[in-house]
Amino acid sequence: MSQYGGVGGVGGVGGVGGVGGVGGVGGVGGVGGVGNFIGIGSFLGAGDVGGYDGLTTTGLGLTAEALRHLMDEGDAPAPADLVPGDPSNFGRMAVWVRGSLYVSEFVSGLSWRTDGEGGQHRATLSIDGADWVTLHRPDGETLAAQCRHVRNYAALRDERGVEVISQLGFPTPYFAMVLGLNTAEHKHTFELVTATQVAAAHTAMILKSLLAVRRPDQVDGRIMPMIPTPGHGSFPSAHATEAYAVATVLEALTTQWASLADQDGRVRVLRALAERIAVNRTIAGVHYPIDSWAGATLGTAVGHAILGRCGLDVSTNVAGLNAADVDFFDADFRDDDARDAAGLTFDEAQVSANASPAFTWLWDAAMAERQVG
Amino acid sequence: MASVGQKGGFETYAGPYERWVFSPALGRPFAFPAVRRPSSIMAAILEGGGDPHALENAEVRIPPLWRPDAQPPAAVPFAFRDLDTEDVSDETLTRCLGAFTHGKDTSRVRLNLPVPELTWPATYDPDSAAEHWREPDVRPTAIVAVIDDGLPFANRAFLAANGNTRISHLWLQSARAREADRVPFGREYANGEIDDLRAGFGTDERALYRACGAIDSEIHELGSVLDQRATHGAHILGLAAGNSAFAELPAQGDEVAIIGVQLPNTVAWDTSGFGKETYMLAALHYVFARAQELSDAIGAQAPLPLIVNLSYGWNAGRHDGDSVVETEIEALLQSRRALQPKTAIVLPMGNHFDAEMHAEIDSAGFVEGRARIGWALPPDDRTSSYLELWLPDGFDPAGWSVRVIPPSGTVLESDRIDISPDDALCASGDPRRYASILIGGRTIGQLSADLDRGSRWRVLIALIPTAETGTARRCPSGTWQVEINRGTGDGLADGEMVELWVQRDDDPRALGMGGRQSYLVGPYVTGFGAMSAIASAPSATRIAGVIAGTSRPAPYSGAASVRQDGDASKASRAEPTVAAPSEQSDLIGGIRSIGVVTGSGSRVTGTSAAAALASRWMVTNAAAGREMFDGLVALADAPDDDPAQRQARLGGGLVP
Repeated sequence: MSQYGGVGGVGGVGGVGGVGGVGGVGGVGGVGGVGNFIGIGSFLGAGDVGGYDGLTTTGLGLTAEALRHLMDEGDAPAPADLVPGDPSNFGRMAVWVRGSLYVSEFVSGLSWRTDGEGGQHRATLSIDGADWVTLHRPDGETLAAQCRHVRNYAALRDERGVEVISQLGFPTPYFAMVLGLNTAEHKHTFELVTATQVAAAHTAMILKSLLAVRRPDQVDGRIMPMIPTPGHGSFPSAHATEAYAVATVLEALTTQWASLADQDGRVRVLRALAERIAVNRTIAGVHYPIDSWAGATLGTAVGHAILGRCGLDVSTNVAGLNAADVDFFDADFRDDDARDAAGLTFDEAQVSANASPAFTWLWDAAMAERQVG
Repeated sequence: MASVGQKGGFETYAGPYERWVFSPALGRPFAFPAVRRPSSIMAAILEGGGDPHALENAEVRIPPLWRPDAQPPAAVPFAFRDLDTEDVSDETLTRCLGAFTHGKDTSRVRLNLPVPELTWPATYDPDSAAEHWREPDVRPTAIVAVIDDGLPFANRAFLAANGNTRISHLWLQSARAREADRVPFGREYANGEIDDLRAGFGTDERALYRACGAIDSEIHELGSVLDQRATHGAHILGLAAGNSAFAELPAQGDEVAIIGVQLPNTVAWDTSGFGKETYMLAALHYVFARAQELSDAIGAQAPLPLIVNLSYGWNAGRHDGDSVVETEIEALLQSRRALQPKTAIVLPMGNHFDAEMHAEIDSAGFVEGRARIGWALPPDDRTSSYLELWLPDGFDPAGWSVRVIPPSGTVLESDRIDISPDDALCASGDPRRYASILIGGRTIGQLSADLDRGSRWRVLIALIPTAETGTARRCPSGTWQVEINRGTGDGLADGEMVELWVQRDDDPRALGMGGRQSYLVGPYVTGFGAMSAIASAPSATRIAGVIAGTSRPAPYSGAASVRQDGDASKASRAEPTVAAPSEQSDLIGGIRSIGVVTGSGSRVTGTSAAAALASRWMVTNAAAGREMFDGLVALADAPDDDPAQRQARLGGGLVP
């Protein structure tokens, strides 16, 4: 996040709080760089008030004792009532509380199952009762063949190392750079990005656990990754899932904003960024290209599901991936023939996700951050 | 089986580098992957007037040659596919070479690095029309050609004002082949095809490169170089021919057409002086041939002025203008200058002035008939190391020998070679002799003496890696001594010397070869004479590097040798023609140019950049109808410097 240094970074969402509430009052706009935690971490503690230091606590007590007698005696008067279930309540909550709601709203509609045996093993993700994505488990021969790509990509470690290291966590600054987002104007957009990332990460972890695919460095001893191999399966790539989910949501948001004159070009860059974040993990040596195919497929689905939760009328085709031994490129992911060759198919059937209150509130708040007038 | 040391085997035909690199018992286990990997296609050069098509059971292809007089060049680059085998082994090479040279004393074949099979078009039709070429809207008045690696031909720095590319012809020597092509291997693109690609892919240059075969990780000679942020070729092409804010140079007009040739990556794996000449000669001929084609197509009365930038080279060699590449450069330049005087091949002086890789020993260096010099081999070098010793042109070394003395603690069983022909090896090729360097019965090196191109004796010392390579062979690291013993032979005359050059052996851009640079140790080591081994053709344009804004040479910029001429010293004939900036300032290193994709920049240091700046300036002059060196700036006075040394480092002026 160094390019934002003096301003305190995009830390509003991913602040120091990520470590588990250490941040106290400083959670908003905190030290951005520390916020690079994946999973649910980014929400924990954002806006959490924590406790005061001892000096302040004692000082407050002394002041309270000195001034309390100025209030009237007897019962406190009845307050004006808050409206239960009213969206305006969301705006009064700490970010982490809304984060908890986003996670709950998203995962409450998820279910999953596995089918098949031996070489036919596959996992299916359902949302709100309908099947959305089926991923077939890649066999050992495919993984072994994919290792040649991972070895080839190692040639780029030298120059991509900085990106790889700074994308260990959620690569939010990279999206912010592309779309001109800043913490003064776009705090709810950042919140939407983080909510999407967390939803995508949870979803990826479910499918990873169902499919149990070895990491490249456990197949080919020549790969020797440049970063620690994460403690979860290789397929699908959570980085690709998150990046494609975020790109899907941000593409929809900025399109509705209609406030960027060069929107078409930014969308191209947004997609290329999602590809680059995914491929950087192959360069690092922790993902096969087919992990990116699975992640892009799953992430795009998660992105559409989030848009549904936000109250948008979007539907998407049911996806199935029986990955062939191919390299990953965004252009191929969007090309019918290349998708066929990669083993990615889309059913005629369309699915969509139900709207939910917190996400709908968040979408409206992010929409209000468009630059107009 | 034909094995090393067996008469009638590979060494009957092979030169010293080929014998070392292609023999499994010698250097092949440590050679480039391109050599180790099976391929049935070899690149080669035939000298002595023979016809490559004489080779039987092989498909022979000769690249497009520029032959204004319809005569074959003295050295013919070619490639051949062996129809009898899937793999290049020393046995099959023996058969091929034997077929060429049997009974023909004048023929001399040199093998080069293999050609990847994926790059071999099914049909090679050099005489077919360039169907995708279209005439530029603005009539070209001069051509700049760049021969390099990783050329970013879709970068917008090379567009004309009308949005079309200025790149008229482009040959990617290691791209995956089409069904049929006008080039013998790799793939050619004409300007219309580049424009179509750009139109088809919009702004996504990487997708374009991948789709058209300019990025292909299955071909190691091409690979994903264009996926990198910056390449040597992007930098050089940007300086010589690009228009971009990243290069901060005066705009180059649409009247300058561009021709490009992308060499195989293996050519940049500069850890050996071996195996690249075919590709370079083919590239030069291609540029000259396409320049002719372009000139003819626009109805030019004489061929258009042509400036060729070849920012490439290696260290060890004759350095007298008589190597194969140098004599062909000279022949091309002389033939074309007869038709168009504004023709130049621009070469960098090299970057090893201060690298202790060159030494000169004259008669005073011999004590009791012997001279010694140290050769330091660093530990953990995973590639072969090479040292060349050259006797004076025409010198008869009868009685002379060379031996190597290892660092203390090592005993060699075989350590010397006489500089004389081995009669058993004289049936074909240059007179030569081989000996092995052995430790404990295992070969760790090769000593060779050969009368290069029949005119000048060379001793080549090749040693295997000092790193553990799992081959049960390892060369001791440390400082070796090389002893030159004139024995009963004649001594050196005044002005004559034994010249030594170490081949470059570092690891450019982490290509993963694991090379480490060896260097010379002792009183005869000098930077004067440490220069590119392909830059000494008399008519070549040699470029030294200076720190911009000064007349001071960059510390690494290669220099001509300085010889005593009576009481005075003077630079040898291969002094730099001119100097150009290779460093922005004392504080800011390198020169800025473009990166691979539009909107990216890079900074590269070295005389390559100086050469490209000189090429740009020369072609701009030629395109405007001026002389190529019009506006040359005089060097600032430096009264404390030795004039001959200054001339040897900077030449005759500064590129403005």
